[in-house]
Amino acid sequence: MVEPTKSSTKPAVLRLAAISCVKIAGRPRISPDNGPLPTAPLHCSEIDGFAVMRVWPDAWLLSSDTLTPSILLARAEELADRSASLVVDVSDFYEAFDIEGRAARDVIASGCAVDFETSTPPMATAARLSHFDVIIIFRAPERFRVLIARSYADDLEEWLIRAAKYAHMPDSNGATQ
Amino acid sequence: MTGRRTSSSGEMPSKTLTFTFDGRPLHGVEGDTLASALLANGVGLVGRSFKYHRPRGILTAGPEEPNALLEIGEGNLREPNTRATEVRLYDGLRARSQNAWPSLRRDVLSINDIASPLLPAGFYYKTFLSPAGAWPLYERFIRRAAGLGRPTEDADPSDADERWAHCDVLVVGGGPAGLAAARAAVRSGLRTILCEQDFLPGGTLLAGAPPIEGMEARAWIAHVTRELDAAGARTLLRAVAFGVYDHNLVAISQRFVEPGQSAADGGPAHRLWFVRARNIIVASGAIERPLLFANNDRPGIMMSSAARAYVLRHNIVPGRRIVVATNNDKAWHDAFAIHDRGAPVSAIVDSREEIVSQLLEGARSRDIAIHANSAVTDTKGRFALASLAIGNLRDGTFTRLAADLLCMSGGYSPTVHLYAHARGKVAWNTASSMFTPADSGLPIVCVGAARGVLTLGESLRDGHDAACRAAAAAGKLPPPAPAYDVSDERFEQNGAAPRPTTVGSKIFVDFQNDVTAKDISIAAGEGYVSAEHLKRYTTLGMGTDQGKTSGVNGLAVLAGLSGQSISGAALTTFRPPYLPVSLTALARGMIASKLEPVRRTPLSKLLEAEGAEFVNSGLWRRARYFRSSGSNLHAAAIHEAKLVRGSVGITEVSTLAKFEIGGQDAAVFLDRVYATPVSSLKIGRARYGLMLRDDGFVFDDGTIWRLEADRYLVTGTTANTGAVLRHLEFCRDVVFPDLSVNIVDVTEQWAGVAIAGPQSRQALQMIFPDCELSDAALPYLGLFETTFADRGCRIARISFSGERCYEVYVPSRLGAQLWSQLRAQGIMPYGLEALELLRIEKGYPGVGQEINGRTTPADLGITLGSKAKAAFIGCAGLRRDAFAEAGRLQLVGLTSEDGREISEGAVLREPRATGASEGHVTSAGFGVGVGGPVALALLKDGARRHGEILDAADLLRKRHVPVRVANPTLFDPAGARLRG
Repeated sequence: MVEPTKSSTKPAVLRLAAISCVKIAGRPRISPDNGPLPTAPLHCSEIDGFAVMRVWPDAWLLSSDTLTPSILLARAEELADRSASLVVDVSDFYEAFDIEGRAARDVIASGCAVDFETSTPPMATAARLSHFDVIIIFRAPERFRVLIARSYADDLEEWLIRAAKYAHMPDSNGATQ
Repeated sequence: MTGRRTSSSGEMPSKTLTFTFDGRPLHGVEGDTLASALLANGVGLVGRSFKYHRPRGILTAGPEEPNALLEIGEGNLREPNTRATEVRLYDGLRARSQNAWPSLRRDVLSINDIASPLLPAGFYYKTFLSPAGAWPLYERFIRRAAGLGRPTEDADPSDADERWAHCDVLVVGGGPAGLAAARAAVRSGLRTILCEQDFLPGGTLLAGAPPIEGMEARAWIAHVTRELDAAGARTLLRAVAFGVYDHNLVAISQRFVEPGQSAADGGPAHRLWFVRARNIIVASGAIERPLLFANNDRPGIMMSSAARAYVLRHNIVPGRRIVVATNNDKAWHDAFAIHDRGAPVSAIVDSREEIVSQLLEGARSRDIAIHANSAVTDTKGRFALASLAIGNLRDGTFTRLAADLLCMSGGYSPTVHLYAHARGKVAWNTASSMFTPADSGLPIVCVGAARGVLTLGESLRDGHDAACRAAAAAGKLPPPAPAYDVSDERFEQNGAAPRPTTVGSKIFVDFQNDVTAKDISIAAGEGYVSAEHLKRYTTLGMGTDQGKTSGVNGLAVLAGLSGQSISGAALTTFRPPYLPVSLTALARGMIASKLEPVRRTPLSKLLEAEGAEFVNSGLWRRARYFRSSGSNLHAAAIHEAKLVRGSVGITEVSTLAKFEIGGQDAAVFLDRVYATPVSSLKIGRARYGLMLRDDGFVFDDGTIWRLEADRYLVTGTTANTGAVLRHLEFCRDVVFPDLSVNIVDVTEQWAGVAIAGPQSRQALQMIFPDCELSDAALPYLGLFETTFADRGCRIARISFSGERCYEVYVPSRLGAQLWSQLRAQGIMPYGLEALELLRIEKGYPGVGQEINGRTTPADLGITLGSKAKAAFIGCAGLRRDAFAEAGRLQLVGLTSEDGREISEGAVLREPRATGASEGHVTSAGFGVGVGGPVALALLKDGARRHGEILDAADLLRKRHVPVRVANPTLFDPAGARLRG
């Protein structure tokens, strides 16, 4: 399902062909049993082939590289408290980019103020990346995924490629003595 | 000036570099700054001062340099006003002097120096006063003379990027205190960043220092930097921390190439760092203060610490007859150090009466003449220093000494700028004659010379201790202190803040802006007695050096004039940037087309291939018209509009705001948010939605679809998407928190195509052959859900054109497929411009035109029906008396009486009237249904004035068009084409 378009920079910036996403809008239930949806902010975990992320105080985002939108939607409806939440397919709302490689964190740091150095993957957060509003999924020390509203995707791709090109440059011009 | 290289250091770099200055080829070596290379070539005259065009030389060795402002590079890489002391020399560097014509030695405007009595501080403002009529004459000359440097008019080809970083400790300054702090921080296990503005770490250690921990100074620097690298600390060189902002955010501008150079391998020339630090340790050193005496600005006069740097760091002897003038011990040690390196110091002049015996012995052992209780009062030499006059402060006698280099030192002022940015307070320390940082409890501290600690051993310990305190606060174990028992030069006391040694007009306080002690006296005499007023009246401290060498001296002069102590004075407010920052760096690549992101619709690429001409609608790129429709915008829009009225056309409507609203209280919520009724809406039906502000004015309009019992889709204007979402969320969270309702933005989830025209149903049926599309099954404002390419699809019979119309929404990825299938049927596209023509003659108000933030539903001719007595946002505002008064601007339609085009923005007046208008034209175009020019307008009491003939006056183009006032629905008022 995922057919990346690979650009030839280091670290790699891969634009994914399609992923499925579903948004569950609603507040966590205040009860001893909060149900299967995680309540901790920035939470990201994998359940049965899809990721569950809490990137907003009043909503969750589910995403999958393998499940179709309709199947993911069905899974989300099983998880959600239907009486208090709204489950919506947003698979076409977002486009996804994977950034992988040694300087992947520097690519993100080229426009995002979040400190991923002290964060433990997996985690996800809504953030600002340069002048784009995105969702950043910190998947592993050298792997990030960025979700963005599709209308901005072309511009973001151009930005990511440029950031990746500069990310591997040393911090200084090399002069020490 | 007679500069030459020494050969005594044993560290001569091997690579020779070639550069030019004012076209003259010169040579330097790897590791030189442009300033040191110029001095090594005997170039002492480097520019002309700003106002008086006096010959000027290099004063300092650092970024505080006020004189050596040169133009570096050529063409689109040219950078004016670049401090020669900061530029690292490279092969092929081209430097030019500034502010002189036709040459440095023969400058026409040097006449300003002679005319200086006519150009004191404030002269500029006085030219406005009297004679006032002569100002146009002055202005021409002043404008030509004003300014410094020539900016290039070409776009900078350099690029810059941005980097965010976080750390436990940010150390600003890589001198001894900074290196000690950084090392202690990494040894404590703290995440550490070290930032140094020079291209080498070390600071003053590079200009000679005693051994540290048993190592020669440069070896110690290398040892510490290796330890920092091994521990994973970030060391940023050629990086200037130029501002401290809220919550310890520090902005740093880093260069990867020198001015005039292009970046190698297409990389960035600059990087703008944003560092969030738990603790900031400012180890930015201290700036030496000039002495104040007549003609203290000649080429060949420089700061004592600068001379030391040029001799010991760059192996240059900048003079043959060197005199040191001072009021403190440090300059004596500088004199000894440069003398021992082969730069012959002939005399030391010290204004103090009592001098430490070791210093006196040191001078005598070197055959350096001593002039105690004396001060330099004047100098001679036009393009280079030739001699100086020394006055004895006790007996008033004068001595003249020949000299080609005068090294002066008036003490040191800690560089507290960054500390002040963070709201740290500074106060005058009388004992040490400097403004020092006061303990403020902020997570930013100054160490070393930046705190007024001027000896090497104490600076090292100070830096170490500050990092240890940061470690302890973080719960980390601080490391033991290294053996910083440096047998450093004793610095008994700082020099007192300098006062002028003579009375005269050429005692320069601010070198860059040519502000003299006399200017300060004039300002004080005219009542400008605060530092802030003094600054703005005299321009002291307003040059690109921001008064780094003049601030304290200026305050001292002012205090002396008023007979007060400087301790009662306050420094002017320090604001970022500490040093000039390149606009290219600040732009970070977001220039021209990259300034803002461009939002592309799901059909953008397809429409582009079909010959669409696009227009920027906010950030969106939308199809305005299609080139196949006509040779220009006007012709194409009319052609496309006729197509829609006559048969069928398709247009993209993907950008409309779209939100799903769901929950058991969704209907109640929407009833309260919209002025139009919602809870009576049936499933499978849509309704026009009018959203008001609290004050009763219309905020946005759109449609409300009922998909399921508790699930709705609302649409709104493209431009208002963000504002409407914020409003809905605010209403949910704050205004109606008791309601159970959720909102999901689905604007980008759906690609939308509107199929409009009398044959639209047939067109739609071709794509959805199995769907029942009769008027009975799908009446006007009906909707249903189906599938397209095995994905969910929504179809609503809604119109913004006044024709039968179906809006089809498919998942965005399928938008191109839908469009292509429609086009394959031969259906032609239309753009925004045609849509505009269609809606105008139907009287549909547009956001930003008729819905302009000052119109109510009644103004727009919209009655609220059953909602008139209900509670909704804006209902209270609507009940205000003013909305019922006569004279309100109300929506009307206009037709052209003589067939001429009506101008948008034209004012409406009685024919042949002048003066106040009765209203204005809000939208105008060619009505293809009406068959002539039409417009919408807001007209006073418009609803009662149908049939009147008015003048639509385009005052800008001086056009007057007679128009007839009518009901806004100029075409198909009954709506038969819409509903039939």
